[in-house]
Amino acid sequence: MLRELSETKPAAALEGRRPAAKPKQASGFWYVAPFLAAFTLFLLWPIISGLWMSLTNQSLTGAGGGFAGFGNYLEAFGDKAVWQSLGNTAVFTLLTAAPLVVLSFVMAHLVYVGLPGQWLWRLSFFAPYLLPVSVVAALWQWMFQPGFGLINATLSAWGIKQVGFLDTEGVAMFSVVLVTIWWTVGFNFLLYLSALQNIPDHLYEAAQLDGAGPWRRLVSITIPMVNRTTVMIVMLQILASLKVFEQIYLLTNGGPRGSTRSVLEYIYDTGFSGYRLGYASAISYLFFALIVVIAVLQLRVMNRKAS
Amino acid sequence: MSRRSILRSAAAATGLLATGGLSACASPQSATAIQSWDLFSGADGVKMRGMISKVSAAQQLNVRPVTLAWGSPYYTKLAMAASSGKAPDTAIMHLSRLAGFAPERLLQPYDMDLLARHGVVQEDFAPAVWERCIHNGKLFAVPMDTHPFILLYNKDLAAKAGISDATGKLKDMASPQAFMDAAARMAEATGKQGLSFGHVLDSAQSWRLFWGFYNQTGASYRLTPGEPAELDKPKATEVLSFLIELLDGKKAANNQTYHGAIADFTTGTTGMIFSGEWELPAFAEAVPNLGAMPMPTLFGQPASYTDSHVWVLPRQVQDDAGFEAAHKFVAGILKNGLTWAQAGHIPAYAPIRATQEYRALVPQVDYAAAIETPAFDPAVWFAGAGTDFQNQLSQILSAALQGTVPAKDAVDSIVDYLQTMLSTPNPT
Amino acid sequence: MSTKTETLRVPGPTTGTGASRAGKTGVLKVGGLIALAVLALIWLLPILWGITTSLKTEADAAGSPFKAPAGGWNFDAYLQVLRQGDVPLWMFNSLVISVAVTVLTVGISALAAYGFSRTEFRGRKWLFALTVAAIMVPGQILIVPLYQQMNAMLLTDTWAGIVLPQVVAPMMVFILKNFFDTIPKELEEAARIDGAGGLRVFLTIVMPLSRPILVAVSIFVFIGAWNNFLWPFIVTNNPDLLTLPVGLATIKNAYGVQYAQTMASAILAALPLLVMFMLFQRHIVKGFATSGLGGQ
Repeated sequence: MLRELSETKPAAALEGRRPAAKPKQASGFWYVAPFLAAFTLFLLWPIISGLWMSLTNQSLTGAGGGFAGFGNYLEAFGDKAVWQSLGNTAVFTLLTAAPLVVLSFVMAHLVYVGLPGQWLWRLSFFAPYLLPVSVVAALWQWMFQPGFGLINATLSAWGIKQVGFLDTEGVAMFSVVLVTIWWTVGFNFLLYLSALQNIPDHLYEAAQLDGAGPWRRLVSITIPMVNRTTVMIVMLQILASLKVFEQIYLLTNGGPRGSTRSVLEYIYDTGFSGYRLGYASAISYLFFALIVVIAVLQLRVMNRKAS
Repeated sequence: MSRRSILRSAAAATGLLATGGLSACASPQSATAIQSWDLFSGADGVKMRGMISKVSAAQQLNVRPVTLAWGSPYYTKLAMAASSGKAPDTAIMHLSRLAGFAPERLLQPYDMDLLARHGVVQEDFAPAVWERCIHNGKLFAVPMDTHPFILLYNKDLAAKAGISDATGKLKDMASPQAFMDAAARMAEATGKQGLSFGHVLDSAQSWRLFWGFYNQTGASYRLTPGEPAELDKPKATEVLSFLIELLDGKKAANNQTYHGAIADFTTGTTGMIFSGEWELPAFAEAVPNLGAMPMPTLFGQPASYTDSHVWVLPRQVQDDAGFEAAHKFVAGILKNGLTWAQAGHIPAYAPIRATQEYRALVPQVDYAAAIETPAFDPAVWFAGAGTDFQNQLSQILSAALQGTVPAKDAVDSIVDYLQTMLSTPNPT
Repeated sequence: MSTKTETLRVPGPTTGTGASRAGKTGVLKVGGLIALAVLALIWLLPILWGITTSLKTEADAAGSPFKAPAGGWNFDAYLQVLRQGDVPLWMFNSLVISVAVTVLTVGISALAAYGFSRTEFRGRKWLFALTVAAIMVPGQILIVPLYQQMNAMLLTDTWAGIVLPQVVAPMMVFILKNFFDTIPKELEEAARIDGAGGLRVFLTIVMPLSRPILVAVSIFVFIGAWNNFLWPFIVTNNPDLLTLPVGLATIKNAYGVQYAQTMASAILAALPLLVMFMLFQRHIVKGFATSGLGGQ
């Protein structure tokens, strides 16, 4: 393979000046081949084998495995836990996506306008993003701890009743959302910060000459200028929120009573804890279809905006 | 622990890289190296680590203990390890999980001759416990203990309430009414409530209490996958109605969490508690004059909700050097059962229960009889410790205990749930 | 980090400080500063509290957070954690795995990106479209079939099993391809006239020119691999192979919940990337801009 790569002839270049055309390389495929091999083996093939699996009763224990037709899909449609976890995932996505976009912009803008102490601000907001999820979970379990956890101890000191942040239905989801915002806002923050720093200064200077105040400059220059970044952040954020698993698994394990269980955790629970790989694959596929629909919708909205 | 230094990991890693990671825990020592998984942390964990190092030294074994999080995460990991054939040589399991763990596929049966050679034979175990370890005529689990759900009480408060005899033990309570009377008198003695029982938000407690008493009624049940669920609804309703009546806010609070109930008992707000015996060390520390007994026989036949920690041999695809060592290890652990008994558990190995030292362990010896009449979870694939089954049923029962659902409706919900599970394809 | 590093705009002129650009009243500025300080405090609080807890004795850790620790401040919890040996082992595993993932991912992605950007072969456009589409596929959804596949390939509980599925990174191919597209072709053609073959042009001209983007991509991939939880969690059961995030979350202390030690482990686990960020902050922030992720 290496030989073929290096055998490409410089003939095209010698033929004359054709700067616009790409050098023709019959062996160009070999550059892509390693990626393609990994791509096929670890992405395409599981997609195909998963589809097959979803039509069988395969079990982690090796039992069963018989063809089940669309039985798993039919079961999934009638499975309350599927709907509950879909609902939870939707709620989680709605609750995290907006704050993660707005807050990260606010943070980035505050830092961008040139207040002193840039290094400290950047470190503060980005540091949590660098933590492994298990560290995040450990820190926040400790924050949420009943009795002497920092938050509950503070509530007690102020004479307020302590809150079971992770084991109260209706509260646990908000706790998970809070942790997620704390953990991941730094990524969007840096994206916004670098977008803001790429806005040409002369736009502001011109606006200032026209007498535009800070608010006006924010609305008519800054926000439109980072529009592309916003669109990208919204897209990445929705996709990331939809596939939430780890912080929920570690903080609440889906509880109490399944009120924080996301789709991905339900897939894990059915497939690995409950051994039902076939059924778990079917749920994966339904979710996959949903994500594709959402992604396509997003692309269409984006394209309409662009044009 | 000191062996597990950075150097060791670096060496292990280099070795792994060279061999492609297939020979993960090869050790050059002469002692056979085996890996053992358990789910004990806290006081139990300290005891278990102590027993393991004792057995390792005595039997010349090189045992590497690994402790994982209790419950569902543990069983998921164990099943995944066994399904890939690269499991630990031996592992702890709850006996109630055995039926659902696909013993024939994920576990290896013990070699009874090999066990006998290390001094462990069937006669050493209570028949009711041993039978549950057999699957298709083969022994898949060796019980280390049984840990029943029991009634613990504060002897001083019981004397004050006048419900104990001259030796300090509770007088006979042979009917639901007798027990409620005792609880009421205890409530007078404490000035608050009589009995503690924590079940709110708990994924097992209500089920343990309910199932223990249901088994006392002698009512039958039949849970066969693919067939209708059979549970004696009138008996179940009777038991649940009794519990609802018991938890009336005076005899016992009906809104306690697991930890809240413990706190109430240890601070003398209540004088009795239904609890697993695994909490015994904590209680003994707070209540110097502590009494304990199996679940009182209120419905005719003695029975206490029980589970049992057993040792199993997860399936291995590779060479089985650890197989014999695992037998040796398990036998060694059983013979150190006295240490385990100090944590509150009833040693499953009868020779330990016969020792002077065990007979002197109070109050352990007072509930040791529970081992003869265990009420285990139904032997069906979806039941057992840490399962969704226990969680779901506990939620239904807990709602009834808190007074939001009538007993009859709760029992209907239980049967509905069982029905759903029985019609779900059995993945084992 | 001196104040000189403050202006982070990557290319382009650095005229005018942020302050003059914003040119606002002092009130706004003070307000902004207060808002920033409050936000930063909230954001740092959990980490700071984790650090203080880790420096207490176990008895003090389980006490009121507002009292001065009776047992004083000390590093006992850290010594305990290091002596038990799990955290150093997991850290070593994480390092090896993250480096392997980074090298392989960046290597095959750069090759592929170059192929897509500079060569012609049948199906190129189609394959690139497939790659871009794959950005939308959340790999996490494939855990069930992928686990069974690794089982069949005997790759569970192996380094290869942890690393290989992580090296498929369509997003990185996309970013690199976009960057390669901006490199003037004349540079390569000059080399070709000198007789250099395709691979040599790639290695000696394109790669060095792409250093900033390669650094940026490597940092992204490394952070991702170091913090990856789900896949290593699923594919490893052998405690000797656990990575830091997985080990911390799955292996329990047999001696019960010890808050100071738990926090010490967490802080130790957090340190490598935090230190890396403090040292390379400029590169990392710049990387966001260069990668085209954060730019216009």
